[in-house]
Amino acid sequence: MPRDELTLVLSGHLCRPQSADLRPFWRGFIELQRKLPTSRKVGQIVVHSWNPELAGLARSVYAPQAERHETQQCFYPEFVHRIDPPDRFELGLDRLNSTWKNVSLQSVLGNARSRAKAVQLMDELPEQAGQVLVTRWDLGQTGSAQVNQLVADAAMPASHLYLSYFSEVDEGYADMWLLAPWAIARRFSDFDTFVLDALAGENAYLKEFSESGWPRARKKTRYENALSHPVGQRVHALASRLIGAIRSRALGSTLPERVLRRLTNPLQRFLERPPLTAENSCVTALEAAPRTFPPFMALNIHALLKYFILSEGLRERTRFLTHEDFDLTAQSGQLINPTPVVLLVHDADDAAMASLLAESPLPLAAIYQMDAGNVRQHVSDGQGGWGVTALRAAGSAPRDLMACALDAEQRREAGALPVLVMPTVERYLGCTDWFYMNALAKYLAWSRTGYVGLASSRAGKPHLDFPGLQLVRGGGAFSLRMAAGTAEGMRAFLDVADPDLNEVSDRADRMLLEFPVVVKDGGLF
Amino acid sequence: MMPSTDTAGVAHLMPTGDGDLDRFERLVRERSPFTFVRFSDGEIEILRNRKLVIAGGVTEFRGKRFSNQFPEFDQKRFDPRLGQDVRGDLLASAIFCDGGYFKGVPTRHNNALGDREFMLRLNGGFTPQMTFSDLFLNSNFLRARASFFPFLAASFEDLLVVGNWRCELKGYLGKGRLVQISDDFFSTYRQTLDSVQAALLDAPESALILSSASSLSNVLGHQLRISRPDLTFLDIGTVLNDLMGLPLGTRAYHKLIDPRTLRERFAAWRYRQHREYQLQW
Repeated sequence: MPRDELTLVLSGHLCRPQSADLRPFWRGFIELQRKLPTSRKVGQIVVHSWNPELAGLARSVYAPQAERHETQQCFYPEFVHRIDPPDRFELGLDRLNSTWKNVSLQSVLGNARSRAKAVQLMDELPEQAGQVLVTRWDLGQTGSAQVNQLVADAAMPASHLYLSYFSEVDEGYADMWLLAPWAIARRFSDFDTFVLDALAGENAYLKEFSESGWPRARKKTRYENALSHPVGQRVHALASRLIGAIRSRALGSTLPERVLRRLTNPLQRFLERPPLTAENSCVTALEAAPRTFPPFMALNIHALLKYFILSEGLRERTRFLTHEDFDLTAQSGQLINPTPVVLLVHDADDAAMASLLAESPLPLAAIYQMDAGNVRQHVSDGQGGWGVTALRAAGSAPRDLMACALDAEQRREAGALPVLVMPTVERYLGCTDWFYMNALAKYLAWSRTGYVGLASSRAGKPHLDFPGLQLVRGGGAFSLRMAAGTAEGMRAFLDVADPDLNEVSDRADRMLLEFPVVVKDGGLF
Repeated sequence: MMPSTDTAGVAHLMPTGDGDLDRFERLVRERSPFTFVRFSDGEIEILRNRKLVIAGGVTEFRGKRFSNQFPEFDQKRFDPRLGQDVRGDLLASAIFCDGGYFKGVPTRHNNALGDREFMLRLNGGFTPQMTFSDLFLNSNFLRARASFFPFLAASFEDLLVVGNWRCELKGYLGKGRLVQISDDFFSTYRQTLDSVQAALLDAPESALILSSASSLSNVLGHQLRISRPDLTFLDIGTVLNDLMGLPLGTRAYHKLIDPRTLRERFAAWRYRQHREYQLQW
C-alpha cells in the first residue's frame, strides 16, 4: 500500500441489538464512500463487529484484509465489583425521562472494546504506516450532523489527529470518527482498558469530571444552556430560517430592501455566532469557575475519549473540524471495493460501447450489447482487454435477445454477479449516485434478490434491508427495460413475457404485484 | 487587558491591537526572532476550498461576483480543482504551532467570528500566538507606519523584502534587497515558491524579512520558521506600499495617510468612525 493511502478501521454493531434493520449499515457504507477524499485511496481495511451472523455481509461489502466478528459477551463480571458505589452512575438520574436512558456500562464498554479490538487488527496488515480512519459501521446515522459527519480532506497535513467539533466539545469529544496518523491510531488498542479503569476510579477521571473541575471546560451561560436543550435548538433553527427567509426576499438594491437587510443584520449575526468553548476559544477566568458534571454523566463515551486523548498527551496534535469548514464536494467520494456488474444494454452501437468501456465507474465483468437484432457478449479478460463473442438468439425480438444474453450469463458465471438492464449506455452513465449504485450492486450480490426496479414515480412501503428501496405495487413498479437483479431472477420472467416485453409489465402493474423498487429523489438514472 | 491562565497552565491575554504590537516590539528589542503570518478573508476562502478570483476588475468571492479597482499586481486566482498544492501548504501553515510563530486571523471587528473560531480550530485552540490579521491595519495602521516599522527596520542589520517585481524599495526600506515575485503567482506556484525560498534560505543570519506576497507569505513564513528559525519574518500586506514604489489608495486604511484636502480629511474621519475600524478580538 502506498504511504499516501488510507487504512479504514471499522467497529461496533453492524446491526443494532434487537433489530433486523440493516439500513444503518448500508447508509453508513454509502456515507463513507461519499465523504472519503477522492485522492486518498483506501488501501487497507480492518473490521470488528458484534455480529458474527453478518460476517459474510461485511466481507462482501468491504473485503477487509483483517477481520473479527464475535458475539458480545456480558461484561458484568468485569465491572460489577469495580464500580463503587455500585449506583454511582444512577445517582441523580431520572433514567426513563432522560437522554441518558439507553446508556449503560455494557454499551459504553462494548463500543470501546470493539474499537480497541479493531485497532489491534491493524497489526495484521502488511503496511504499518499512513493515515487511519477509525469509525463505526453506522457513520453519519446517529447523533446530530455536527458530530456524525466525516470531514476528510486530503489537503490537510496527515500528521495530526482530527475529530468533529461541536458545541459540547468541552464536555467530551465526538467519537463517531477520528482520522489519525498510524502511530496515534494504534494507541487506541488499549482504549477499552482505559475506559474501564476510568469508570472504576483508578485514575482521576471521575474526580475531575464531577468534583475538582473538568479540564478545558467553561461554564455555559443561561442562553447557551437553553440553546443546548432540544427545545432551544428548535427555536434557534426556526429563528434562523425566519431571518433567512426574510433576507432572501431582500437581495436587491432598493431602499426598503437595504433597510430590511440592515435591520436584520444584527439578529443574523447573533444567531450565527459560533459556540464559545474552552477547548477552542479565547476564554478567561476558567480556574475561577471550574466546570463539573453530575456523576451519572461520567458514563459518557465522549468524556472518556477526551480524557483518553488528554491522558495520552495527544491534545496538541488534535484538530477539531466541522462539516461546514470546507467545501469539499469536488474533492470527495471514492468507491470502496467496487463490485463488478454485468450490464445488458437494449440499444447500444459500437460508439456507445467505446464510451461505456472508457467511462463506467463500476467495473464491468461482462456486457451484453443488444443492437439491430444481434447480441454480442463482451467479457473482460481482467487485464484491460475484452473478448467479444456474437451470440445466436432464437429471434430478433427484445425478449429473445434478452433471454439469449441472460442464458449466456448464467452459463458463464452461474448468476454470481449482479445484473443491470439498461435501455442505453447514456442512461447507465447518467447514474446520479454511483456510491448508492455500488452499494445496491453489493446488496444484490449478497442478498441474491432476483429483481429490483430502478425507476418508479410511486412510493410504497419502506424495505428494511436496504435504504431507498421500497416495496411498490403496480404503477410501473415492474419493467424489463431498466432493472437490476440476478440473471436467474430476471430470466424467469422472460418465459412468460411477450416478445416486446410490454404485456408482462402491464399485467404485473394491473395485478398490483409488489416489487422492490429504488425510489430516490430525482431518480437514480 | 485581563490576564488569565489557560487550562494548560500557560498565562495568556485577550489579544488587543496595542498589546500585540507592543509584544512584537519587545521581541525585537530582545533579539528574539519570530514570524507573523496573516490569514485574511482571501486566505480563508482558499483554506475553505472556495473559488477566489481577483482579476480583470472583477472579484469572485463567497460565490458572488462584484467589480473591484485592484491594480494588476493584486490579481489572484484560486481554483479548487487546480490549486490543491497551494491550499495544502496554506493549511499546513494554519495548523503549525510554535512559540515564535504568530498567526493573524479575522476577528470580531471584521464581523468574522465564524472565521476566527475556524482558524483557532486549525491552530488546535486559542494560544497566545493568535492575533489579528489586521494587526498593522485599521486603528493600528498609523502607529505601525509611524513607529513600529521604522523601529523594526532600524533594529536589523540585514533586510530582505519579498514583493511584486514592480517594487522599488524606498525610504527606510531602501537598505533592503528585493526578492521578486511575479503577478498572480498562483499560476506558477511551485516554481515561484522554490525560487523565493531559495533566495530566502540564503539570507544573512538573523535578518529581517518583510513579505508582501499575498498567500505566498503564509507559506514562506511557515517553511522559514522551520528551516531558518533565526530569521524574523513579517507579512506586511499593503501597509508599506508607498515605500515599495506601489500605489496607495487601493485599501480603505490608505485614506489615513496624510489627508490634505477637506475631502480627504472627511474620508479619513468617516473611516475612523466605521464599526470595523477599531481592532476587536
